[in-house]
Amino acid sequence: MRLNLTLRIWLTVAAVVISFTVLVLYILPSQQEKYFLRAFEKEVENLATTVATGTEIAMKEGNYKGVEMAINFAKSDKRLRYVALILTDTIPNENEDGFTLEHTAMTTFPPKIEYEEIQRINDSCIVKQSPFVSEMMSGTIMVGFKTDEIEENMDRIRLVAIIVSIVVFVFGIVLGLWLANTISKPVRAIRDAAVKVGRGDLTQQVHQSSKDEIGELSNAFNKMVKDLSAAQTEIEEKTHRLEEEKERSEHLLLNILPAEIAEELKDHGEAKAKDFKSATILFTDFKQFTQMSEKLSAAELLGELNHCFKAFDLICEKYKIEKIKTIGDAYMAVGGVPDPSKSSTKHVVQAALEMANFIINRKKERVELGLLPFEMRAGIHTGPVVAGIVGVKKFQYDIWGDTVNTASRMESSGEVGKVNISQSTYELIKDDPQFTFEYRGKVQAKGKGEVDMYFVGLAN
Amino acid sequence: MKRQIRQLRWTILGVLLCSGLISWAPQFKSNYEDLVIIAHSGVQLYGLESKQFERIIFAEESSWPDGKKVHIGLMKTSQELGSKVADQVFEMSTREFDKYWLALVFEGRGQAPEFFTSEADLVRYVSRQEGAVGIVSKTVDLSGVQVIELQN
Repeated sequence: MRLNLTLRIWLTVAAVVISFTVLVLYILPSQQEKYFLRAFEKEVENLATTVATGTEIAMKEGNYKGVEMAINFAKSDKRLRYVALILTDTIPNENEDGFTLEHTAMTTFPPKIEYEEIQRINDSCIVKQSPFVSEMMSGTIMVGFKTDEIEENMDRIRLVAIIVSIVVFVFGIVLGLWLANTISKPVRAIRDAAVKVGRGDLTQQVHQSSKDEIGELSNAFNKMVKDLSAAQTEIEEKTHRLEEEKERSEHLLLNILPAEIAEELKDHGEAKAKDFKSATILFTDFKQFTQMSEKLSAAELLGELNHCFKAFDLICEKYKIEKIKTIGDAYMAVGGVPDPSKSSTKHVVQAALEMANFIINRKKERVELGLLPFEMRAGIHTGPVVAGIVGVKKFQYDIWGDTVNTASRMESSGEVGKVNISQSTYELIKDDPQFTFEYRGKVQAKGKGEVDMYFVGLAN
Repeated sequence: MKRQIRQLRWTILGVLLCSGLISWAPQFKSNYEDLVIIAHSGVQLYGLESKQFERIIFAEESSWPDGKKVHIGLMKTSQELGSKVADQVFEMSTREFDKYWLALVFEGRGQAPEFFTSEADLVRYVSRQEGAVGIVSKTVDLSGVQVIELQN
């Protein structure tokens, strides 16, 4: 059975009240009655002894003052039922072979009570006797006192006990309510607040003005919730910062790696190399870059290179093709890798044409500004590659295979301001009306021999 | 039969007791051979009758005719004069005499006398205690007290 705090308080108060009531109603009156009776019996016994002693003195010395005083004292007590002087006479038996003791009431107060009647008076009466002996006579002083007053007193005590019990009962109820209010209610409030805090509501506060343990508990709870709230805010801020950092890291990672490869790397800690049957690789390279670098300052050279490559990056992003890397003044990108559905050969060709156009326009700008212009060749080839990540530091997503070499040869075999494509690339886009093609014939390519090549352009 | 005998015995005992009690009833005599009744000099004895004095000396009356409180002084029964007074004046045995005063005190009917072992002390008591009355022998010095002569 589960006892809640309120029930426990009520049970405790009820136990105390019932114990007190039993004590007040039964045990205390009972003890008090016994005490009263003992004291009363002693008092009566003392009086009987005093009267007996006074009688002895009166008989022996003829001085009646003592007995008179004792008798008057007894008479003055309204509880006195009787006081009797019982004479004891020794009477010989009929056959004179023995004796019997005969008791007679010589004198009594109130007067003329017979010994037999005295013997019968027992109800509501305490009787004490004390012997006396003198030369003249011997006997017993019997004193009977009424116990009515004790019983009346006990009735009064019981009445007072009942009233006190009722008062205690009422007080117990008030105490129970007060305790339930001051202990159980705040505890329940703290419990409810704790449940809400557990559900994530860290605005909960318990309002307690008391200075006792409950108040201290409330203050401790409030402080705990505040600390939790502060900790949660701090965690949220840190989480937010971490998310920002993560976002930056991911952004940085995505700058280095394709999104799919970055996800794979994050999930598994590595990215497996994959074969792609058909990837279209774009190479660009600036004409006579080495000679130009001697004429331009490093800052100017890098600034211009950066300007162009940034534009290329945006173009790659526009056509959803993957920038692989820059090698010096060369720019390498690929379409169909790592997700063949994202980009196609057409996208790579469009990107190459836009890059070429960008450089032509840039050349005009620089010439107008009186600056040394860049000129660029671009080459594209389509074929199988292997793509993946190599190394654990400063790693990058890269592609390998003969297709890469062939694409590079397409670039180096091309012309400034034009996009040179291989036969395999041409086969894939030749029917696209968006493009125009100029067959160049078989062109000698380093390490490849004579290869069919085409200049591609945009149809008007 | 035994029960009837016992009842008869109790009846006889009762009759004897009653006759004994009747015999206790004071039969006061005003003149005694060698005893004299004395009283405090301030007691107004004029017109005091013997029956009235009988009630006084038996403590059945507690005041003199003039309203003063009666104080009785007697010799102890252990003294010869005391037993003589019990016998001649009160017409009781010493045991009955003592029981009489004890019963008087017990029942609250009156005040017990002052008892003395010396007649001179008794006379002195009577002479000094207002309203006192006593019985002594004629041979004792009676100065300071008045002697009661009762009217029959």
